[in-house]
Amino acid sequence: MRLHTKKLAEYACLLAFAMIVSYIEALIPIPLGIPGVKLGLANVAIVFCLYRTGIGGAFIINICRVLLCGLLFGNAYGVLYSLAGAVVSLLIMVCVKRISAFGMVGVSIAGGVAHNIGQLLLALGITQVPVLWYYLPFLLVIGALTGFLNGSLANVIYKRIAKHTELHDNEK
Amino acid sequence: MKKADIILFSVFLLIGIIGITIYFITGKNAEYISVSVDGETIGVYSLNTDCEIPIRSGNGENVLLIQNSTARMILADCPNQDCVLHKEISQSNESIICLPHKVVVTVIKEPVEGDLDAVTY
Repeated sequence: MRLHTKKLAEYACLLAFAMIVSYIEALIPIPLGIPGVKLGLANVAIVFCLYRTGIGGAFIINICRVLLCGLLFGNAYGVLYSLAGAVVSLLIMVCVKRISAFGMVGVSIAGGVAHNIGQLLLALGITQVPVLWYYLPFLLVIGALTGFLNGSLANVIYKRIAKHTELHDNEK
Repeated sequence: MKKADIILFSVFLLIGIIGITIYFITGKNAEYISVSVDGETIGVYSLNTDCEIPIRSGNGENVLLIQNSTARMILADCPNQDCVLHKEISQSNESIICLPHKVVVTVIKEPVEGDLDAVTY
């Protein structure tokens, strides 16, 4: 029971962090003229979860974040879009994480790119306009850059927190 | 950071930059705007004639404005307004997408598009 409570508290903290950064990001537009372009700081929390709590935790927190943020700050289409990105991104990150050659930054880069491609596929499916493929090179660059930043951040946070807590060791 | 991470990053960046370069090289001299709803082209307009184009679909209404050889969405009766916030487009293959209404506005080079029902200049 003690472990369960601890886990619950940890998930809640991570979810709160993911939601706060999602909210702050929504307030600060990136002036590229294309709505929806953002750093995806919430992915810091997701990459962090993937390493700290495992796939299950990352999955739960990611889905909860998308649904809660969608209900609080967005709309139905936003949720659909975020969900497509989040699910594809998480699946790819889980796969890449299994390859030991890649570290947290690599996982995050793959996740960032996969997120963008997931959303592009959804947009292609909804609009049926193949010309959207022209966005792919832009999405690759943006995904790689944001993934790199988020991964580096997650890496630093993970190391610092690991140094100060033994929480994870108790669970093992 | 591991070596593979850097390689992955470089590969994505490289492919992306090559793609963007090709996009800008091939993207010039575009003169037409194609409007599609649900994947079907409903009209092609010249970028050189200023006009307002109402787009009515089963899902809602948008208004496209063509001015100074650029196009932008000036109205959409949907809640998220993403297409209205999108910058104006003029480069070939640039598009504005209204996801809730399944409306896609794209800059194209040639007005010929196979099985077109109506072409407006």
